[in-house]
Amino acid sequence: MASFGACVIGKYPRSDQTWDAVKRHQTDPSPKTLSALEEANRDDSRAFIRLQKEQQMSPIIDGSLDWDDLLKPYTGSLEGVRVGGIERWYETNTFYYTPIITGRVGSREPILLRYTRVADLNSSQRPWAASLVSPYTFSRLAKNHHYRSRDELMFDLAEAQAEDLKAFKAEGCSQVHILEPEPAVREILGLNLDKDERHQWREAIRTLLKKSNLTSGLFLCYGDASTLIDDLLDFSVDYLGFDLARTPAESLAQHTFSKGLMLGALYSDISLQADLLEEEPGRIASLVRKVLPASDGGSQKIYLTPNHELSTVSTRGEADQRLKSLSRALRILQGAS
Amino acid sequence: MPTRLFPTQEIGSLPRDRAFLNLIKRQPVTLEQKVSALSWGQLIGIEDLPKYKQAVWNLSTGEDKELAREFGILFAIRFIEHLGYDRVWNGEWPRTEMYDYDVEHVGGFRRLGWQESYDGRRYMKRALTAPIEYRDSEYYVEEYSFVQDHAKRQVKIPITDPHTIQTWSADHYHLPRYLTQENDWILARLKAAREFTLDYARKITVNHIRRIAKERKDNTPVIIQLDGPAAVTQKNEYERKLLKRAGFSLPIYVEMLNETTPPIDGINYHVHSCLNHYRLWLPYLLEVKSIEQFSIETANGDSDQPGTTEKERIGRGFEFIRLAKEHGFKKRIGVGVASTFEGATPPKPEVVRDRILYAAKVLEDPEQVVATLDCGQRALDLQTAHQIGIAVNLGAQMARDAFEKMYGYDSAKAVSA
Repeated sequence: MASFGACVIGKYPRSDQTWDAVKRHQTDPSPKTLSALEEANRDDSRAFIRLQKEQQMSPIIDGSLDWDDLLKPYTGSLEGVRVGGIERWYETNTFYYTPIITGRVGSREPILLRYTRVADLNSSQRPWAASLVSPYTFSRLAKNHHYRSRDELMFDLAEAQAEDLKAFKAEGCSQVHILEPEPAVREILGLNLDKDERHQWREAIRTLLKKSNLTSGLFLCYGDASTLIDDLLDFSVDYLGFDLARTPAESLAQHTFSKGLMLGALYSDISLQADLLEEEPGRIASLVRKVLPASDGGSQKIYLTPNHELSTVSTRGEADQRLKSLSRALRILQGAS
Repeated sequence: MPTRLFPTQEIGSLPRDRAFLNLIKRQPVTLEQKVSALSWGQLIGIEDLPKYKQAVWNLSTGEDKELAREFGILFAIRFIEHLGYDRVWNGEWPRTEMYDYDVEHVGGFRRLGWQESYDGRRYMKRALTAPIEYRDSEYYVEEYSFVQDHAKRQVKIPITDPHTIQTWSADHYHLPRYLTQENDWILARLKAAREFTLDYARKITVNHIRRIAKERKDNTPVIIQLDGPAAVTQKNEYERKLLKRAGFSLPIYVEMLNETTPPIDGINYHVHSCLNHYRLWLPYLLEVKSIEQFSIETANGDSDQPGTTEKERIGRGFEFIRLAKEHGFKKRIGVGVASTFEGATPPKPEVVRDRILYAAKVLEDPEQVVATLDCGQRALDLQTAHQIGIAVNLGAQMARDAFEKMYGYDSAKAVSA
């Protein structure tokens, strides 16, 4: 019988207090306002970690609250990459800075560790996860002025990111969530991945994970991944994650998964007020039950998650409420399992 | 209104230069800001500068404040005209931002909190919690009246379209009803989104347009530009199977365009959308009858090399232009010839020229091509916006000259706007 857990993925919304500190620093970029902003980010992240603990999330994340966007730590720090113009982040009203590839991509030292609140995560005494955008998605969103093919770029990125994961493992990280919107979005746009591209994608994920051996989840969001599932079963990851607002639960139920699942059953693109928030845990649990046949009756773990990162569609107040819905859905399913 | 081949236009917003912003808001202006504002005024040849100079310099009495405000808005108009653009607006200087400015004057919404946009930018997300209510607001009319009285070029008014307003808002009014009716929340969202969008279109946006039409003097035509950055963001709104299940014959965005653009004497409709995958638009846009021009983003993502082949013109906006030709799309297309994202630099005029010439070549009709910017210019500084304007208008003239030389086309021939 499957066991259940719940966790949040990717970037979480800033609180209004942190936004105020951001604004003050933008208006008056002084050491004093910078220090106040850093303090606000730290407090905000700690509050988010506390909330996850209270709501039985595991693994927990730091929420990447002070990242400009999910790509920016790499865009701003990797050798061979410069920061370009903004582009829309999938179906949201948020944007990312385009990575412009001007030379061979690499890094002499781990990058993401500098952008992660490792001490706070470790002091929470809970398993914690790191989040990153996959080398496939990053390479497809980048503007390539250097490599002969995007696949060459993807593998160099995977090598650089593998060093990050190794460093995370050494610091006590237990899982990595690999955010992977691009393949499923391409399916919707009719820009389907051919056999060779799927093979290269799978190899890039293998390269990414080879040095760390971290427990890993590959999360496909913002598109319908139904047509990719057969290939995904061969990926060297422990969990496959799906955005259930876009990949129908019925599609997943038709497959037999030998891996764990991360089910993005919390439909974060819509906002709910009080009475519907009451009903939401039941809805989430019911959606997850639709997928249960896919778990092969085995002992895999199923994580309940939002259907993608929350920072791009929710205010902090909304996100905190939804996280509680996720937690209540978990309790319903644990009672049932 | 007749215009020339390859007319040029910006999209709507200008950088909110602090000096001018303070003048418009009737707030204190520093000595440095006064000097900057007045020297810009001199550069672009603003009329009656001595009158305004005194008002700006002595910004203290109520009368001076009004004059200083007038100078600020007049500056935006003259700035656009001075650069040679064929269509003009007020740089959206009186507007906070494109979502909030529209929604804050409409009944039925409440504030939810700050929603991230990018970097350190945010917007105030609102939730619809009661029926949408038109509050007889004068804000668009006030803006238009001033521009109409002072503009020397055709006036183009940007208004955020109802579909984008809906997409960026939370729906605590229509959605709950559909969520209780439908087991499938995706279908529920789609149905609620349609009702919200069309209700907003009928009660708010069309009212604004009718009010503007009444303000027109001397029967001068005016362009309403419906800004829709969210047009193609919700991809399932274009899925045929889902539309069929919902009982919709068209995507919400397309139905909204038809609903928001009733035939009104002297009103011409344009659309602008950026940062999108436009390929989903086709073939649906063929169903839209009343829009004369679709302006898209083409420079962002394009190469910065001159050339008029598919090898150089790689932006996804150019992919849309090629698809548009395949589908027999005959409307005018606003081709973004210059990027305007934060940190953008002015394009080479030769590249502007070739973006125009390539679009004309693909469409096999030069009169379908209008040279536009990719998007508004709020994220830039005034100096960069000035340099972009020079490059765009020089590049457009080079394209006219080239077209005349290559094809013997009389570029002085007036084409209908």
